[in-house]
Parts: sequence; structure tokens; C-alpha cells
Amino acid sequence: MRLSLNVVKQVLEISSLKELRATFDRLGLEVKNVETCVYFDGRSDEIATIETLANRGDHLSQLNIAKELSVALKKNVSELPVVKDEFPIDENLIQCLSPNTISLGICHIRVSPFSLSELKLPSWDLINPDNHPLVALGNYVMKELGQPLHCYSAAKVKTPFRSVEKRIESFYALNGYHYSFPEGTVVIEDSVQPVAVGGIIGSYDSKLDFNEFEIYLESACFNPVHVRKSRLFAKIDSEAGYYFERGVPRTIQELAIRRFLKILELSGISYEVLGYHLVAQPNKTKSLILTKDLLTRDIRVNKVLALATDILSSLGYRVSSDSNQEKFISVEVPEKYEFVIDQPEDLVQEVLRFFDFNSVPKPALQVSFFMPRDNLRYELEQKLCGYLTCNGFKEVITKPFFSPKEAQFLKQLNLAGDLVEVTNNQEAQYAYLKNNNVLPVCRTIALNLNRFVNNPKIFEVGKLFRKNMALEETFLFGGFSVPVNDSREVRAHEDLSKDFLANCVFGCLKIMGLLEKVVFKRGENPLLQFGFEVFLNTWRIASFGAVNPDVLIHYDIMHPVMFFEFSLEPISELLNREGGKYVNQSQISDQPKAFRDLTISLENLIELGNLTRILKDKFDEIELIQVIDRFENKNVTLRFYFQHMTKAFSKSELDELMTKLSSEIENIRVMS
Amino acid sequence: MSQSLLDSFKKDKESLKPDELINKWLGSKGILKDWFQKLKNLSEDQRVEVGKALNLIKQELEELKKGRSLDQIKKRLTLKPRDLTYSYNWNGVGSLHPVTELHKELVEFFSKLGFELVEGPEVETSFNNFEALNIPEYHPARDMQDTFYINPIEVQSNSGTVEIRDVLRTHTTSIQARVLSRGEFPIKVICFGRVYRNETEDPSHQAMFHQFELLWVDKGLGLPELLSLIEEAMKFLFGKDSITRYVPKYYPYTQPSFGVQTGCIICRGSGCPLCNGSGFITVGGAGVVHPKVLQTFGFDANLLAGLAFGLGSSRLAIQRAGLSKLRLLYDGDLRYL
Repeated sequence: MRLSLNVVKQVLEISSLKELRATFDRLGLEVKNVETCVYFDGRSDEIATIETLANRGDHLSQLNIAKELSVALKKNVSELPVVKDEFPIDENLIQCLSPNTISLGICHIRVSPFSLSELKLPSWDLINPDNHPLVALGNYVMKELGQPLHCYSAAKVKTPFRSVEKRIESFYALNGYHYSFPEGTVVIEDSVQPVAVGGIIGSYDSKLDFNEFEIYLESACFNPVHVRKSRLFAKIDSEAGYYFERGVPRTIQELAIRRFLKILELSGISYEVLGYHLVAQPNKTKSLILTKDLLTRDIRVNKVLALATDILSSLGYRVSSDSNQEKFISVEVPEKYEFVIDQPEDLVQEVLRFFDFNSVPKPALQVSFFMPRDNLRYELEQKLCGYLTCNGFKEVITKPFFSPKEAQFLKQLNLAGDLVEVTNNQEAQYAYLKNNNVLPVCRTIALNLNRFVNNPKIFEVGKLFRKNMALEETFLFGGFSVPVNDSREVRAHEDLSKDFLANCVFGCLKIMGLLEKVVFKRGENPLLQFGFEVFLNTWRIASFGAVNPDVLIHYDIMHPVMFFEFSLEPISELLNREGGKYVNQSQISDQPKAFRDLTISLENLIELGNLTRILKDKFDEIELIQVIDRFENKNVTLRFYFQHMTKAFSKSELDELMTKLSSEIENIRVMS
Repeated sequence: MSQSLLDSFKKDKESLKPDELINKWLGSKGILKDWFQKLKNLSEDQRVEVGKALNLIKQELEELKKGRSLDQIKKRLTLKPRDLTYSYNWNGVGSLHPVTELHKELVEFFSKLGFELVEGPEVETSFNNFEALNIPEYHPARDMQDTFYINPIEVQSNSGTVEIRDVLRTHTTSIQARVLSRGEFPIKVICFGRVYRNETEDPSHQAMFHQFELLWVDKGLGLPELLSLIEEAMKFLFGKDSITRYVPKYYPYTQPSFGVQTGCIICRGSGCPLCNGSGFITVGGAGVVHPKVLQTFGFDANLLAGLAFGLGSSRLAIQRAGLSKLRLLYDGDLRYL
């Protein structure tokens, strides 16, 4: 957000935002830059671009930031001028309020025509000069107070207004586009038609024309979750939506209207309030208990409760302490923090923001004598990486995506059947996850050859993703290009390259202690022109060979490329932790894994950990049980991975197993 | 005239080898060139007729030539298998990737402090990536983590069919969820790996980057222990004289939450474009694990506290490697690695 020095100066005496940069940072308001500007009326201003946090809707108000600054700087903050007159109440302005509309205020105003330059705004940086002057003023107040305001043309809407919740198939919005909104969207209607989608955007049919100066000014508060749901459904970005999603306090609707009118008044523009009505849901006061134990867990200083009381009181919290025990304080959360403060831990964060994280006393670090368990796969990876770098290979890290062109190429080779598609937030196809390592190696080698890197030798540790595979697989893979020309040395060089490839693979197998135990077989990978696969009994642990010329031509590579890969997971499973000795592989199944998901009700059920333990004991076929989703703590979805020692499960066998599992869970539920 | 030309071409096609045929007809002193020059002297009818025949022959020859060159390339790229028992050592200088080197150092450092290295899948359940970590579906915090989705699967539940969509993990914190789901404590783990965000790619923003994380759950822990740990780690990474400072941040899975900043390595605190003039750069985020996260996995949040600390290891790696752009890390361009 952009913070104006002139706006802050209305309530707080400061001379520069630049000088306060460190204070802003300390409060969690990261300053990206500060720029100085001079407006058309000769006044100068300083504008700071501040990155606000996703949970701090209150920081979208410049006034709130000024108040926080005043606490940090221990300065007094003055009141923002607003009109104090009584408004003529017109109860016919609003007919009803939907459950997710927290408050709705409508003010019917007739303003004498004026141009934007007649307004006396503290900062011109915060508005869009192309807007109607009244709309621009509404936007200014939104930036100043954090309350979005919306102007309806009085000539185009027919009172009364009402907020309802319904689905809209086609809504013609202010920006000239049509949108549809889901069931339960908050809609503001006049007596004829929808005039706005609550908290998001107004309708084109109620838009204020440049020659109109009689308006219904709306100032409302909506349920943030509801606004976000509707906005994401319609895929629409709006500034008001940004504010409402982060939470607008339920008590500043009238204040915003009064401020709007005050600026008109200060600018010498005459106006008349023809009617005003505000309807709001009952106020909920949030009260939290902040214990001394929780505070001292994070801030180990003397009189920590007094410190918290001081800070929270100065921020506007109502704090009361327990009589004389000094074990906790009771904190009443002001409405402006309604969507920010939810738990006592949030209060600790508030105290720390003003106490300063950097001031927390730090104890000397206690070094543990507990030795952590080794990660075998990582150790294996390190050994192999070390060996390859010693042999001149450079490690690269590339993205595991295939472009549509690469996917098309694999389709031509009938190798695209197991490709996994990746979509983005808008459910549009983004890419495919890689299902083989040969193409990424060739892609990287082609890139390097094009940049005149001679004989690139690369390796990478990465994953392969295949549809219908229970888990992704980790591989160490790599390759190198063979220099060729038309001279007699070519064949010698080719032969040496093959030797080098074999040497690298043998070397890797040797350092794993597997060289004497493996069997080499001719591979059938169509991406390799002569390939070998390395087997440890029935496990395929590696493959290597020269890349098929069709693949090389696809990447415009004019040199032969050698390729190798090691499947790290089976190898690390086969090496036990005592010195990397070979384990009898019959203990581990090499059959494919399959998974099925089951959603169960948690009602009358024993603890989840015990349930999974019982099921694992009872069913040998279960290899792993994973929680993959929870629904409001009532239901839980479990993913069961099945693996047999000697065979692959058929669909009917899996169905049978799932039936048995379901009835077993029901038995457990009855017994418990 | 055209018929005799076609007959002569057919005869040559049968008698000559492809290369000879191409040379005789399509070469710089070939028959076709000669005929094309003669065309202007012919009558209009003859010109049309002979022109068609010449174009037919030329087209056929060019296709033959194209196929020949592809065959030659394939032949050049095709290697014959040979005996692999001969050993030959081809030495050279290799290197690890800057991100791997950084992770290696961090693993070494934290292992000495008793932290165990754990791993997790890159295709993660939405529950482990979001809901378990106190990131509800409709919270603005999800904007920070634009997500890649894997094709959805349908699951039968009591209330009908539910669609579950796995995601490419947006942070390594999902591994923490997996560790917490073991239900045992104390927990002292570190993890690192690739994470994916649906970002518009430019030299400084990539759809894939790396993170490093730490989780420590035990009795009697609090913010001071976390700050001490981070201070040691920062000294290890940036040297004993490095300055570390902490600024409030928001992470849904920790509260209190803060960002870890270190003195800018380019301007040494005087302000430059890299640090936006502040003299400090953010290298990671940390905080005390949110009680809701602990409760999700059945831990008593009144008894235990969890400390979490994460590093954006890609950014750190480019700074240490002296690279200017994040993209250079993931292009595979050996000139920079």
C-alpha cells in the first residue's frame, strides 16, 4: 500500500517517513521505497510503498498506521476531523440485511457540481484522477480509513436497498464485463434489480455519470470469507474486495461517511444530506485471557504482565488484571482488531511488535548430545555426487516440467501414457511433470552446446512422476555429450566415451558396494539406442546407454549423448544402516504399490493413531496409511497404500480389501 | 518434350545411386539448371508443360536430398555397442550446485545440534500443504502461495463424492505436517527441497525454487531458544560479525511470527537496490508453531511448544554464488554453475 506523509500528518506530528523507516520495519510494515513528490497545487508529499501482511486488514488504513506509529514513538495522536451534524434518518432506505452483511449504511446526498481540482485532499497520490470527483473522494476515504465506499447514481437506483444472498448467472459490472457468482453471494439490490455484489463491485446500470451529483453513498461491512469465496469464483480483482477480504471493522461505516462529507465541507463544496440509515448485526465483544506463562514462554523479562498491559492499553485494548495473583490479564479486543486477533498467541505477537523482537533476551544455545538418525538416502546421494564431481561432472538443478512440445514428442513415441498433468489456479493446463530423465538431460546438454560449452558433463538429483504410481521416485541421473567430427579419431573418441560412461556407472556401483552383486541386461528403453539395465536380483536399480538419435534430433543436438540414471530409493532401502551392507532383498517387495482412499466418520471412533496401528497389524497388505484430508474434525480421509510381496493387486482384490477394511473400522467403532 | 524429360529422369533413377542422381540432376551444373535456363526460349504451351515436369522432378529430388541428410545425421549419431569391460578414466573438474552446497553445509551444522534430516514428497496432499498448517481455503494467506494442482481424484464420503486435488507443495512446511503426524515428541528435524509456486517467470521469479526448514518440538521451549538458534545459524552462514535482526511477519502456521534479516552483503548496510535501501535483506522466516497446528496433530499446546525456522535457500545460494538472477540457478547453464 502507499502511505502518504500528508495524510499521517493530519493526526500525528512527524516530519518525514524516510526517517521512520526502521520504526516501520520494527512494526512489520516493510518499507519498499520512499519517494518525494510535488502536487499540482504546489504542496509536497512523501509516499512510502509499504508491504502489508496478509492478516493485517487494519494496516490498510492510513489512520490506523498513524495510530500505531504514535504508540511506537510515544506521541499523542489527534482526532481526524469529521462532520458532527445529526443526519435525517430515513428508515425506508434499507429494507433487509443478509446474514453475511455485518453492517450496511446508506446516505442519500445531493452535492453541488464541482470539479476534482476543487477538492482539498491532503494527498493526491491516493486517487485516480480519471474517476468521477465523488468516486475519487470515496476512494480517498477508503485509503485514509480503510473503509470502502461506493457511490450509486440516485437517478438510476430505486430505493429501498436490501442485501440478500443468492446466485447470479450474469452480472453486468462497472468495468463493463459480465460475471457469474455462486449460490450464497451477498447481493445489494434496489427495488428492481441487483446494483452491486457485496464487497466486490457495483453494477454498470447504477454507475454514476460525470454530470450527476446526487448519490446514494454505501458504507458497509461484509463477512471476509464470503467476499473472498465469491470473488475467487468470479475471478475478478477489485480494490474493495482486497479490503473486505482482509476484514473491515464493523464500527467505522458511519465515520467514513462523516469524513467524506467533512472533506466536501473543507473544500467549500455545498451538499445536502437527504436521508441516512445504517443497519448492523449485534456487536460481538471478543475477550481473551493472556496468561503470564504464555508471555514468559516468549518474553522472559521482569514484570511481563505489566509490559503487556502497557502496550495493549496504548493500542486501544481494554485490559483488566486478576485481583492480586498476577497470573493473567483479561483483554477485550477492540472492533478494529476483530479479524486480526483471534487467540492469546496473537496478543503475544502484538506485544512483541511493540516491545521489539530484537529486545527479547536470548539464552546461550544448549547443544544436544543426542545423535540424530542418519538419512540413508541423503548419505547415498552425497557419496554418488562426490564421486561424479571427482570425475568432472557438474551438478545442475532443472525444473521437472515437460513442455507441450516435449509431451507431443513422447506421444509420438507412445511414451506419454503415464504423464501427469499440472494445472494452475485457473484450472488451465500449465505443463506436464516429467516421466523420464532422458529428455531433461538432453535439454540441458543442448542448451550448453548452444552456448559453446564443450563436452558438457552433467548430473542431477530429482524426482520422476508417473500417473498410477503410488509415490514419486528419486533418481540420480546425468549424461554427457561426445565430441564428433569426420576425422579418424572419432571412433576412438566414441569408444572412450562409452568406456567413460561404463566407468562412471561401475564406479558408482563400486562405491555402493554393489558391483559384484549386480547383473547387466540389455535394456528396452526406446529413448536409448543401446541401453543397459542394472539389476540387483529382480530390482532394476540403474540404466545407462547412448541416447536415441531421434531424441537428439528433437533437441537439435549434433553430438551423441551418453546417459545414466540410478534409482536412489530402492538402493537406499537395500543398504542397511550398519556400514551400508547388502540386505537380503527378499524382505522388500518389488511389486507395484496401489492406493485407495476412504473417508470415515470420526464419531465414536478410537484415536486415529491407534486405529491405523490396529489396521496395519491386521492387514499385512497395508504398506502405509496416510491422512490426506479432514472435514471440520468430523470426517477424515485416509489413503491406504497396498503392496504384496509376490504379486500386483488386481482391481477386484483391492475392492475386496477395501470392503474388509470398512467392516473392520465399523467393528472397532462398535467396540469403542 | 516433357515426357522425354520424365522418361530420362526415370531411367537415371533406376540406374544411378541416390547421391549420383542428386548430383547429376540437382547439382550446380545439373540437368535441371540447364533446362530452367532453356525455358524462356520455348513457346508458352511448351513452357507450361516442361515447367510442370521440371518442378515435379525438382520436388522429388529435394525430398530425396532431405531424407539423405537426415539419414547421414542419424548414422553419425548412431553408435555401435561394444565391450564395456575396458576401463578408462576421463578426469576433469566438476562441482556441486550452489543450492546443494548450501544445504550440505546447513545439514552438517544442524546435525551437530542433534537435528535429523527428513524428507517428503513433492506431490503433496492439500491437507498437509494447507489445512493442517492453519491455512483455510478462503484466507488471503493463500494468495502468497499460488498453487499448481495435479489432476483431481474423487473419493466417496458419508456426504457423497468429494473431490481431492493433490498439489505440488508450495513450501517445505508440508514436511513438518508429516513429521507432526507421527504423533511423537521431542521432534528435532530439518528438511529441504524443491517447492513450486504458480508465478509468472522472470529472471528473479521462478515457478520452482528451494527452501530449508527446521522444526523443534519439546517441553520448555520458547521464542528465546529460537532466536539463539537462528543467531548461531546466521553466524555460521554469514560470519561471526554478521548482523541479524528480526521483524514481525505473518505465517499462518506460527504465532508469534517474524522474518529473519541480515545485513545486506552488497552494500554492507548503506542501502542498495538489492535491499531496497534498508541495508538489510530478508533471508527467512520463523516463529513459534501455532497452537492450532499442534492441536491438529493431537499435541497438547499447553504442554509443548514448537519452534519453526525456514530459509529461502535459493536466494541465499545466488547471493553466495555471486549470481545476479534466480533463473541462472535453474537453467542448467554450466557457464554459471
